[in-house]
Amino acid sequence: MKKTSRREALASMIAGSAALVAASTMPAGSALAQEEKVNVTFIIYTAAGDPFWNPVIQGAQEAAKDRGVSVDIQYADSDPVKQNNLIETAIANKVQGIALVNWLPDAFTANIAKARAAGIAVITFDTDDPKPNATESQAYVGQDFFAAGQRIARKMVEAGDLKKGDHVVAPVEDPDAFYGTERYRGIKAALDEAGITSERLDASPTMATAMTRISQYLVGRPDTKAVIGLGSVVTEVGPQAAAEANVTPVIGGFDLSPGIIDSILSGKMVATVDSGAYYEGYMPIVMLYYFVKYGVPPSSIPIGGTVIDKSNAELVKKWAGTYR
Amino acid sequence: MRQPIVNICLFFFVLQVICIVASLLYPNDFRYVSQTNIGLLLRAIPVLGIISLGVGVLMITGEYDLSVGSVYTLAGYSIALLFGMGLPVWLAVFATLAIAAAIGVTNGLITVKFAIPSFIATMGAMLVVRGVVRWLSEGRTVSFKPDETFSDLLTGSFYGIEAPFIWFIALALLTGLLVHKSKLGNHFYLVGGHEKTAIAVGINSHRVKVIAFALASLAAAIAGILSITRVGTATPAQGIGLELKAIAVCVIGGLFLSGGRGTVLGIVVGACLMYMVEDVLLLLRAPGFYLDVFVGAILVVAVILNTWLTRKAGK
Repeated sequence: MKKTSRREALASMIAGSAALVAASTMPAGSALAQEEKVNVTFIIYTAAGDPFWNPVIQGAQEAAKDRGVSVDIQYADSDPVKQNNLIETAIANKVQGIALVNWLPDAFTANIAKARAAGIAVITFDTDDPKPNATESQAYVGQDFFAAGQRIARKMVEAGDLKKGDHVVAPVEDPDAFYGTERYRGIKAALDEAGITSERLDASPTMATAMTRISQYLVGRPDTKAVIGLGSVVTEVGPQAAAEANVTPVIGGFDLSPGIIDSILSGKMVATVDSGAYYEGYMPIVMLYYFVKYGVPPSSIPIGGTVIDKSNAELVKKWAGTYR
Repeated sequence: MRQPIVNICLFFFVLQVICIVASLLYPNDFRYVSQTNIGLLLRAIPVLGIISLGVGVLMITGEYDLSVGSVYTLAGYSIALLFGMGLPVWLAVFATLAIAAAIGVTNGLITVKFAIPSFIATMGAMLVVRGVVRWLSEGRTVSFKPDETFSDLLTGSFYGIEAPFIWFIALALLTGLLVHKSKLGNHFYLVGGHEKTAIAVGINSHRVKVIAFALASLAAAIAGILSITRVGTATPAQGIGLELKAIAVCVIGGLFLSGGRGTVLGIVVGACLMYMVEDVLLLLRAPGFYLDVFVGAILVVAVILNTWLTRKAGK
């Protein structure tokens, strides 16, 4: 083996360090990266850790990488005061764009207006006030919860051959959650049309507890013909809850997870509604970038709402929990 | 003065009789004694019940552990990830319990060595452990599909009795022996009721408390293992609020918040009562969306009744 002299070693160390410094300061070769990065605060309304947000975050981070955006992801812990503080901090930091979940009507209207008045671009994603133009947000990227609720309810009526006088339960992880309220409103509207009664059930985000509550409900109301979970946890435990209650209602719900897809493929669940989570993260970052750089106005994009059943679940399986 | 446990047992017994009679009179409207419902209760009670056993022992020593909900979640992730990495399932169980015990010991040492209220020390641990779960999980759910022997042992049934309930009763008996029949158990009560006296008679109160913290964490981990074996999956957001529910179970069971008083039987009855209330409300078709309102109100009434009867009997 060739012996390296001390000088050579020093020279290679310096050369290596210089390369490292260059690599860390030089952009990755693209013209975009040579420009100053666009700063965006991306506010998720729950606490960190909810698996639903993984594809959303992946989308936001990939868009940030693609476009040269510096994205700061923050969590509001389901606290409107904290979320308002996060928006105000973003305004004070003079970021160029804010993407946020408008999960509580009227709670963030004033600060969204304040951000716009300060020249900051604002886009809402995942959840928005259902009243048109309720805030000064420039666009909304997300599911139309009401329409999605109607869609899954109709699918369940068809799959379960539900008739006038039948009963349906809709468990939800958090009774205050806006997604649950709006999705249930859509479900109820579709079921009411068919003369089918329905009720929401406060389950819990803890899987074992949610499963027990749904089972207990089904034992108390064995005439329940369908279970429609309003979120991913209650949808995922639905089949097992029915099995433990020794009843066989048709089961469906919202969102995607590996467990939900497996249940659909094995025939234990009829269908779920895709929320288009990846685009919920990707599109706001892209639109904020183009607005800040070139003044291209953001535009609302209704995403998600695709019914996933046995016919298309295999396609989704590979990417459930990451891109789907 | 009559012991609170007598009242709560009476209350539980009377409720059982009412429910059983009502169920026999109206079998199609109130399915309380149906095999399915009994099976459900026997599977549901143990998770909170086992956590409450640990929390209860700690409460007897006059301390609290707010990190048990996080440890419960961490245990699910720990066993699933270790098993997924190829570790034999029993080794994964052992490692998970060791991790939980280490967390409990750390909680105990921080509390006693730095003289920090356990409420604060374990609140910190609650957040740290929850953070570790998020880091481990990267926000994703985890699946746990052990072999059938392991599943059956933890979640199957023996002669018609659900295995989780058998585990719960076995652990309750062990805890009962430890708390009511051993020297260490006496130390738990003395340290919780009169710590200065305990120290004066030569009891190492720090050691006693650290052991109690370790037991609380171990109980939470056992519940976490039972839970993920039953459900087959876990989410990082689960377990939030279990610590307060466990404290509520202990208070319903007659344990004093100030420490030094309480029985293991009280904890068992408290856990059964907690789930029974939920179960009866759902069977009676109470509005499911507002269930917690009813559960909360009934539990407060149960504690008031218990306290009132205890005071009345003491006059």
